[in-house]
Formats: sequence, C-alpha cells, structure tokens
Amino acid sequence: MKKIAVILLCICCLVVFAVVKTTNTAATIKLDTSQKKFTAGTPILIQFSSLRVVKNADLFLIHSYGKTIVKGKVDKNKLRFSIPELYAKKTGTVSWYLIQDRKNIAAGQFEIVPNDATPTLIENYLGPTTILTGQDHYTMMVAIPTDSYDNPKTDNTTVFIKDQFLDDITVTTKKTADFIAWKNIYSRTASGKMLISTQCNTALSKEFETDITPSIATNFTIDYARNHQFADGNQITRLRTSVIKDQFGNLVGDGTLVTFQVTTKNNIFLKTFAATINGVAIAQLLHPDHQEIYTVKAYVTGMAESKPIQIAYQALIRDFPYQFLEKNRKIVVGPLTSFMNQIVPDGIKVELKIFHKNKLIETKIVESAKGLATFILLPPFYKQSAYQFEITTLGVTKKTETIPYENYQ
Amino acid sequence: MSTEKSNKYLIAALLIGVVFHGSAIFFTLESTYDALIHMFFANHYATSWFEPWNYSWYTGFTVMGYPPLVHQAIGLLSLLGGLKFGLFTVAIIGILLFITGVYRYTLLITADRTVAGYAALVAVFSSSFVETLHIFGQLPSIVGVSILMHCMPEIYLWIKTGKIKNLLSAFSLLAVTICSHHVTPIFGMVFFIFPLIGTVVMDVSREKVNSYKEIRFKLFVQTLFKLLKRIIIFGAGSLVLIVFCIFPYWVNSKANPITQVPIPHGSRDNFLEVTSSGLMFFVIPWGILFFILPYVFYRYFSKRYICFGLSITLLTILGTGGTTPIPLKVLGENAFNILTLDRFTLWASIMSLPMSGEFVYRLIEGDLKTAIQNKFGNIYHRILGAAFAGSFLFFASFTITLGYFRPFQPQKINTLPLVNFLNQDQHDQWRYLPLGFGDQMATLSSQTNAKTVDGNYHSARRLPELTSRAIERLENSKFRGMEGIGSLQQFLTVPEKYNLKYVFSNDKFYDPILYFCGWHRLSQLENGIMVWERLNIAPLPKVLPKDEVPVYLKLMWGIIPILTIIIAFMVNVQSIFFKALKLKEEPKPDFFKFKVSYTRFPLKLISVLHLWVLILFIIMAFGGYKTYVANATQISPENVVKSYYDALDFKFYEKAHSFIDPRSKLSISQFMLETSVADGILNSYAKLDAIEIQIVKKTDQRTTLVAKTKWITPLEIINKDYYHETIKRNGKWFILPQKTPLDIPPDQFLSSNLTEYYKQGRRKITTQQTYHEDVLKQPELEILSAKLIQYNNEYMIVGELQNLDNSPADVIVKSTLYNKYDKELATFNAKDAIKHKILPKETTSFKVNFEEISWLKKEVNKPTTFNPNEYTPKNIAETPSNFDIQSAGNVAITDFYIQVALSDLVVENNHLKGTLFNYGIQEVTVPELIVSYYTKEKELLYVDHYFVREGVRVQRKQYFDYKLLDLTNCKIILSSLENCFVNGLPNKDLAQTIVPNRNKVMEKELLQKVNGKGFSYVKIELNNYIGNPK
Repeated sequence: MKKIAVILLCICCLVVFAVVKTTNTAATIKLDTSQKKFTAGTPILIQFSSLRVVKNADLFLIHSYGKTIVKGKVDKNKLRFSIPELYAKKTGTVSWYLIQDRKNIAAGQFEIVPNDATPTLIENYLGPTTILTGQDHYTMMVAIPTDSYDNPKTDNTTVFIKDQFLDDITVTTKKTADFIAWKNIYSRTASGKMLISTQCNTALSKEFETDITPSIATNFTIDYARNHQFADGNQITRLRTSVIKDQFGNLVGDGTLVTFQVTTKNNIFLKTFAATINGVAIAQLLHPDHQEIYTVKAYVTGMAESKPIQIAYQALIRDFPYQFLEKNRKIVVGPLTSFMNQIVPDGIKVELKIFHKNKLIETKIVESAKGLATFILLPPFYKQSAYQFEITTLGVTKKTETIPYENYQ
Repeated sequence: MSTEKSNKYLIAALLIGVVFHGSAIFFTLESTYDALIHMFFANHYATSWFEPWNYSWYTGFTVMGYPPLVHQAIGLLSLLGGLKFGLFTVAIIGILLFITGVYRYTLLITADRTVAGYAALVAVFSSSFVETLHIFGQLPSIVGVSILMHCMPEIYLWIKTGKIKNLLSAFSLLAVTICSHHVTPIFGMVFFIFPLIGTVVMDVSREKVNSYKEIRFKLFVQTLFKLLKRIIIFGAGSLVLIVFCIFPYWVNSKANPITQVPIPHGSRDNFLEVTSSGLMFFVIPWGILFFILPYVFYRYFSKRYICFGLSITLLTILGTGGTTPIPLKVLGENAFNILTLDRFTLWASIMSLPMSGEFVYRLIEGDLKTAIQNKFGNIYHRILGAAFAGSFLFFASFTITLGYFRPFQPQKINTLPLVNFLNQDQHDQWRYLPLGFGDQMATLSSQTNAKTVDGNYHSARRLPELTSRAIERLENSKFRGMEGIGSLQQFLTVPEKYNLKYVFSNDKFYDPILYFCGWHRLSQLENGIMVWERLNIAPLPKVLPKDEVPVYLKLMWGIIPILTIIIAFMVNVQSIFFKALKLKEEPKPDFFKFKVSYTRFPLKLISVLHLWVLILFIIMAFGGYKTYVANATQISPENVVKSYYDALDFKFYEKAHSFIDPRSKLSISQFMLETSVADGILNSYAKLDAIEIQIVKKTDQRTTLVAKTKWITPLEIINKDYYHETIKRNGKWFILPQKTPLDIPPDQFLSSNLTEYYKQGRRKITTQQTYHEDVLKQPELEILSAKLIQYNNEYMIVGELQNLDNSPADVIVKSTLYNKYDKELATFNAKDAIKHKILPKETTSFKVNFEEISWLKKEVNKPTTFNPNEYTPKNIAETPSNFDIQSAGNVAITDFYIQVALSDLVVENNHLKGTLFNYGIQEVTVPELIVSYYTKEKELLYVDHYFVREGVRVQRKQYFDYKLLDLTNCKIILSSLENCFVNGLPNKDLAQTIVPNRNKVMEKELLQKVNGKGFSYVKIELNNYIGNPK
C-alpha cells in the first residue's frame, strides 16, 4: 500500500510537473519592477515573476538608440532582464515587450531621466560669426546643458548666457526648453568683437566670438591731388575719398571697393578703382594728353556715392614747330616743349595724317623721343608729286601746305 | 657529358646584353612612355591582388583591361625590394628572354648554332629592341614576343614529330605569352605561327622529295592534310588558351567595349609629312637592318621560308602607317585607328633578326666575305665590315640616348612634396589633377591614395568628357589642341562634378585658364610645382561606386597568370637545365636536318645590295638638301619674316636677332631686353600655330609686309597682324627693327597700400574635422539681375551680382535651365565671363554658357583646327521656360588686383579703343575686359569678355581695340530674380536686410552710351590676371 502511495505520489508529481511545464501561459507572469523612472547611468533591472517556475523569455526593447533583444535570466520563478549599459546611459522612453515562444505576452514602458548627480557639461553653438552693425542683426547662442552621459538636462534647467561688448557685459538667465536654452544677441551700433559664453551649474563654456562688422557705406566726398595741372599724358592725379563710414559712424570694412567714374568733355566714361583702407580709398588716374575737363564721381555701387567734382587740365602746348628735311622726305616734329619750356617726357604720341589731293592715304603714329618725332616718307612708297599733312599732338592739330616731291622712277 | 660546346656567341650576347641594357635601364626606363604606367598597375596588384577595381584614375576603372602577368610579377617582386626593384628585375629578365628567344628562333630558322649566336649578338644592339625597351618601356610586349620566340621551336617540333612533350611545352609557353600581352599572341598567330606551320609543312614535304625545288603545290597540300590533325589540335588548344587564360579580360572588353574616339598616334601618320613620326616609328625600329633588307627578303622568299616571306612583306607594309593607303585598306578603318602600327615594324624587324644574323655571319666569316674579297679585295671588305659594325653600334647608342638629347618627358619631378601635400589636412578627400607631368603622373598615383580624374591608360577611360575626345590625358592637353584644352576647360569650369579641388601645375601654360575658371594659387611646393585650389567643392563621398565582377573572374585574374609561369617553368625546366649545362646528350631537334650550307653567296645579290644602299644614300642626300632649302632663311622677305617668328616662338633670341638689319646697330642685349620686357598672353603663354605673309608694298630693295599670325593660347586662339619692313643687304633680306615704346613712367620709385587677407583655417592643431567656430561664414552675395537670353540660337544666362559682405568673396555661379514642366534641360557654371574673386561691395557681370560635353555626338563635325575658346553649345531641343541660379560665395584671400584704370576710351566705327593704365605695383599679365551690353532702357542684354593681348606693366599704358558685337538677334526671354539663390538661401531674403534701400539709379549712371547694333549702352569691367605675383 505504502508502495502504491509512493508510486501515486510520484505519478502526481510527474503530472504536476508536466502541467507546470506546459501551462506556463502569459496570465501567470507579472511584472515585479514597479519603478517607471530610472536615472541614466544606473543599472536597470526588469524583473518578472510567476507562481511557478518560469520558462525563459526574451525582452524586446525599443530605445532611442535602436531596437534590441535582451535574453533573460531565470531564477526559479523569477525572470530578470538587465538593460545593456549603453542603453541605460541614454535618456528617453524605453518600450519593452516580453516575448516567449514567439508570442508577445507582456508589454510596458519606462523612462530614463538625466543623471543630475553627475557633473554638468555644456555644449554650445553660436552663429553667424559675423554680423553687421545696427538693430536688426543678431547672432544666436544655443546652449545645451547635459549630464556626464551627454543627456540633455530636463527642461527648465537654468543657463546663464553672457556677452561682452566693449565695457558692456550682459548676463541673461534662460531656462532650457526642448533641451536647449538660446538667446538672440542683437548687434550694436559700433563695430568690434563680441565675446559670448554660457554657464550651467558649475559647467562653463569656452569663449565664443562674433565680429560685428560695419554696415554699408553712406555718402561721402572726394578730393584730388596732383603734381601739376598740365595735360602731359604722363603725370598722375590721385583721387581720394573722405573717410567712408556706415550710418553709425563706423569705418567701412577694409577693402571696400570704390569705383571712380570720370566723365570727359565728350561724355566718355573712364574708370579707376580703389579699395578702402581705414575708410579711405585712393585711386590714381593718368593725366590726359590734351586740354580736358574731367568730372569725377565715386560710387560704392548701389549703396553710396559722392558728389561730382571737376578737374581741369590745361594744354601743355599751344603750338609746336615742324620741319621738312632731306627733300621733304623726312618730317621732324618738335622740339615739343612743355610748360617751363622743358622738353616733354618721351613717349608723347604724334600723329601724322597723309593726304593726297585731299584724300587721306595713311595715318602714322610715332612717339616722341627727346621732344622730337621723326617721320620718313620713303620714295618707293610715296611716289606722288605732292602731299599734304596733318600733324596732331598733345591736343593740337596743324595742317601743312601741300608739299611738292620729286618724281620717283 | 655532351660533346657539344657552349655557344660562345650566345654567352657573349647574354653578357653584353645584361651589362649594356641592364645598366642603361637605370637611366632610361623611368623616363619612357610606358614603364611608369606598368609600375602603377604593379602597385595596384601589390596592394590589392584580387580586387580589379582601381579608384585612382578616371573616377575608377578596372585593371582587367590589360593582361596582368608582367604587372603582377613586378608587384610580387616589389614585396621584396620595392616597386622599382620589381620593375628593373622584370626588365632584366625581359632582356635575357629576348636574347635567348632570338637565339632559339634563329636556330629554328637556320639550324646553325653559330648563325644563331650571331643573331643573338645582333639582337642585343638591334635598334627596335633598344627603342621598345629604352624609349617606349613596353615590358609586356617584350616579354610576350620573347616567350613567343621560345615557343616556336616547340610548335615546330609538335607539328613535325607529334610528340606530346613538345605540345605541352608549346602550350605552357603560349599561355605565358597570352598573360603578358594580349596583342602579341593574336597577331603573332597570324604573322609568326602561320608561316611557321607553312615551313613545317614545307619541311615534311621536303623529306619526301630530294630538294625544295621539287615540292609542288599538290605535294604541299597533301602534306598539309597529313599534318592537319596536329595543326588543328594545336590551333584549337591555343584558341582555348587565349580565351581561358585572360577570360576576365574578354568579359571586360565585352562589358566595356572601347567606344572611344581614336587617339591620334604617330605610327598612323604619313612618315614623309611628319618626319618625327617617321623617325620614331620607321627609321629607328628598322635601323641599320634596313640597309640589308634586300638580303632578308631574298632569303625569306626562298622556297622553304616562303610563308615567312609573305608575312614579313605584310608586316613591312603595315608598318608604314599612313604613308601609303595600304595599311588602312588592309586593316579597315576600325582596326587601323585602334592599333598602333609601330608594332608591325617591331615584329618585322624581329623577324629579320635571324637573317641579319646569317648575313653578319656570312660577311664576317662566311661566303660573303670570300665573295667580296675576291671581287673587291681585302681592304674593301674590312672597311665594309667596320662601317657596318660601327654604324650598327652607333645607331643603337643613338637610339638609347635619344631621350637624353630630346627629352620625351618633363624633367623628373620629385613627388615627395606632392605626396605629403595630399596626405596632410585631408587633402586626399578630394580629387586632384596633375598638369604637365607627362607619364610621371603614374608615379604620383602609385604613391598616394588620393584620386585623380585623369589617368594614363586611355583604354580604361570612362567619363564621356574624356572618351569622346581624342585626348589620352588631360595632363598634356595642350598638345591635343582644341579638343585637349576644350576638355580641360570643362573639367576646370565644373570641377564639383568630379570633386576636383586641387590642380598641380608643372606647366605655366595652363595658369591663365586656371585663373579665369575661378581657381587660385595655394602654394608652391618645394619641387617648384604650383598647387591651385578651387573653393566650394564637396569632398568625395565615403563610398564610391564601382563595377562589381563575379568572384570567379577575380580568382581567375589573380591566379591563372602566375600559375602559367609556374607550369611553364615546371614543364621546361628539365630541358633548360640539360641545354644550359649540357648534362645529357640530347638528340638534335628535327629542324637541324634542314640546314643550309653557306657556300656561294650570289654575286647578283651583292650588286642588288650595293644598288639598294646607293638608293638609300641618294634618298638621304635628297632629304638633307630639301631640309636645307626649306631652312634657307634669308632668300626672300617672306622667308626672313617667317624665320624670325619661328625663332621667337622657340625663344631662340640670338637667331631672331641675326635677322635684324645689321646696320640698325641693334645689339643683342638691347634686342632681348625689348622682346622680353613685354609680358602677356601672347608673349608668355602662346604657341605660334600658323603664319601667313602678305606683301603690302614691294620694291627690289625694300618691302613692307604684314605677318598674319595665329597663336594658340590656353584661353583662346589669337590672330594678330604685325607690320614689318624688310631690307635687302648684300643679297640677303633683313628685318628693320620695330620701334619700341618710348613711354616713360612718371615715378622712379613708388609705394602702394593694399588690404591683405589671411584665413587661419583650423586654429587648433587637430586631425579632426574643422571645429564649428573655425568655419568661416560664407560671404553674402546679391544677384542684382538675371536674364535668360537667346543669342545666335543659343540659350544663355546673363546677370550681375555684388558681394555685400565685408569679406572678399570667391564666386561660383551655377545655372540650370528648365522646360515648362520643370524638367531640367541643361546646367553649367559661369566660366571666364565673370570675375571670380571680388572685393567687398564689388560687382561683376556674368554669363553662363551651356556647354555640351564636346563632340559627344559623332555627327557633329569636329573642328580641325584648335580654338580653345570654342565649345559645343548644348543642343537644347525644347524652349527653356525657366531657370535658376545657385551662386555660392566663399571667403577668398588672393587675386584682387584692381589697380588698373581705364584711362582713355574712344568709341568709333563700332569699336571700343581704349587705354589701360596700371597704377599699382604688380605687372598684369592678362587683363580681361568684361563688357556688358544694355538695351536703351538700360536693361542688361548680354555679357562678353575680351582678353587683351599684351600685359600692362607697372605705371604703363596698354592699348586695346575691342570690336562691339552685333546684338540685333539677341533677345531677352525671361528676366527674373525669383529662382536665384545665394549660398543655398533665396537671393532677396538676406540682401534686403543688408541693403534695404538699394540705389538703382546709381547703377545705371555707370553705363557708357554708344550707338550699337541692338544695344545702347555698355559697361566695362576689368579682371586682371597676375602671372608672377611679387
């Protein structure tokens, strides 16, 4: 009998064991971990328990780093899951699904919050790094305070945003919203360098900088300087702007291009260019080689301009001599003398127009050397018996008589 | 032990060969055309044996386009002692193989060991071999043909005796040939092996009768049929080998067929017209052998060798290239344009080596000696022998030193600074482009991981920009005229398409085009190479596309070639040892039965040879005379002017000066001073292309004439007329010196103040990406106007923009045209009709031409002459109805020379004649005028550019004469600023905050009133290129 009882008991045990083995359904498992918030960087353990011995299962995690499956550890009727360390350091909502035998038997979620116990760090972005003077322009400082695991702090964390410009230091208190604290730092009316930094708890940022550069130029005046007033085609006239400033009185940026437009008597536009240094642009212009009145106006295209000024150039000569030599085959123009009766600098253009019976045959151009310009009419090429000439130099034109020539065979 | 003695001639040939070539290659091989390319390929195999894809060239290409054996061999050896060790070792092996190959081939042909020894000696100094090795550096070709020669006796013996041993040996050697060079076995089949089979058949027939004379065609055919089985077995086997051994090559050829435009090659020229090609591809390869050509032909046309006779005749004719129309007809247009025909001459000369050896043998110790001595006496024979030997040696040394006297490559470049440059600061994340490097670009490529858009193996080119053009490399594009520079300009104008950021310029010629395409100099490296940079280029993506091939092809490619060497070695090693060490008495091969006895040299042949040599001398003398007459410089006014310009073009100032009238007392130093003071596009960057002389006035003693010259410059083609007076003195014509400008600058000493800029780059020394705060803000630009215009049936975008920022800007303008469904029609960048570097508040006009990838379509006629300024406008079939402009500014720090004034201007006869005056302290090399045309409402209509021919020196004037365009058929289709973007943001958004109240009237005040055709106002802007910044 006793034997029978033992056998029955054994059978019962087996049955029970078998039942336990096979009836391990979802309803029997429950979540032990009641904690819904974990601090980043601390170990996170999710525990399930059942009335009976549990069968192993997987925990499927959806985390901001991605999705993964964690294998559980069975300890009798307890089932434990340890969240990977990497995931446990990152804040955010984590959803989990308990999967057993390819069936989803439980689900839930918890949150990982920043670890305020760790030292605070701060990440900053500033831009643009150059702005113009004035009230409308600003640069934006963005600060992201984080814990040591690079998790942004919870909203409403206090951040100090500080900026310095000249003697003026401003500290603003900002609360983070959506992870960031930010401030638009408006430009000033003076140009210069603005330094900006931030602070959160004990965390300090490095020094950031924004250059406040001058706004566009305002109207200016121009002036000129020259060695003499004569149109010698050789000397240089310097055109100079006043100190060009923006509307707040700052010097315009170095290198600002100024175009000087020169209008001649004949309404021809000549040009010379210069870039500013300390607000002043100095351009140079060659003297004309004939009597001329230049009207000069300077522009910073589309933005600023000067009032026009006039520069008059006096004729270098009123008259010049010329002579015919070697049976009229050689024409020597000059000596061309200048305002003090000195010989003109070499390279003065002398133009000779050759006419035969009032018809222009050829134009020859020669540059003067030592005040003289020589034209040679070789007999083989100029076979006619008479020519007339027109000589032009330094804005003066002279017409000769009709000159007879020996016949050429 | 064998009774046969070692062949002392062969041993001498090998010793001399190794000493002579082995020491010379150290001075020649690296400046040959091909050796460095082989080294680059070898480097590829050494670093990635099984991966056929190479990113270094052409935006990636597959090395399966060239048989790998030689490259792999160099690559393997490089693991022992570096790439150069590998290269030289393989070259020395090639020399040994060639000499022994010639020996074995001659032995097969003549069956005389002494003759074969002589042939080996001749082979050492044969100019075709010297040229192939020391000038062309074609190692695979040499190895291929050498192994083929080794293979021939085995083929002969297989067909003759049917021994499997010989067949195996033949196949093993043939496989090595195939893996070394694909063209050699294919054409070698036709030109070497077919005649060889013919000879075997002839020999077998001969055994049936008593003499060669008795062989009739019927007998020949009967024998052929008898041997047909062996021939077919061999033929089929070789075919299988050719396909199998380099199977990946064939797969690749099918997948990437060579659809490119043929590249001109000197071997296809008419050698009489292009004498330099004649020298390189005909005279040198033949060399002294050409003098005994009648003997070679006489021998090969004897009955036994008749098939070789036909073969060598065909080879000789094909080798003449474009001189006669026959090669073109025989090969057909396609093959003619793909093959380089010099290889035919090479093979013809190699084929003549046995007969030359025989000739030398007979001349020195055989019947020819006796015949000459009997007929002309001992002394004549000695002189003849000495002259022959002397000229033979002279020709060999002439060929080997040709590269020394006439360099084929730029001076050797020290690549280390370039490699360092590419390695630092992540410069290798962009592509680079070398210019003026010659084949040394391959050396650079094998030393760096950085990639280039160019390459040096033109069959592998992939970009349509390259394959549609007959240019082998961008690097030497100036030698390819119009197509070369046109292609280069496209790469330089739209470099972002290829992630091309750096250009290494070893040739000043390209500097102006780089500048005007928006590039700037970065720094000059220690080796003198200038680095040019272009801003706003994105780095290469991390993953680059490649053509994947199946693994089995990769394995075949990596394993089979080396395997063929191992097999060939195992199959032949026994016989090599026995032969070399004479360990065992070997039966004489069958061809020894057909030895010719040299008893009576035909006297007729001696006469024919003398006559032939005489004819050659007459031709040479005639050629010499012609050259002299063509170069008689002072017999007419035209000639003297032409010679004067030729001399100036080559910078032979002394020669040019000798044409100047001696009575003018112009000293050479004064002359040189006057010619060299003037800088400018014509004086510094131009190459004379054509000159035509027209006489204006003429007498017996004096003439005025105009030289109509045509100059090639990197920017455009320039036609310029020069007037000259010439005078006759003592029966010779001279040029009267030109008058030099007498203009005196006003100041002796001057100072200048300029704003200079500097960018720090990364302020912290780090290998990481540039820190956020070190990235400079992009300068703000504003597009002031933008118009889509149609001019001469071409659509263009013109407009004006201004730099609103306080920092100077480098400006890139990219425009895209769309049809009414917003489908993209064309896109391109502004090239040279824009000022790329602008100062704060500076404005520039711009024009975007939409260029087609030039000559992509075959039907479009290619211009025959070069004009870099010409391009193929994109054929836009649909009418564009909209456009956008993406402009980008980046902080620039150099190239803002604005100190040039427009100091005089005359508008007459539809010309703008003006004077530029340089008031700064830099010499302007190429001043560019950007001329904008406006309608009578002062609306922008068109933008044109003009490069002033001469530079402007400091405080001097320069005159220009610009012809205004006829714009009656230019119309504005759309004028809109709607789709204009600056640095990725809408144009207006930021501009409005910077310039809220733009003064539009002021801009209009700057326009010059003219009475033009289709326009009423113009505006002139200046863009100054400084060639040598001080």
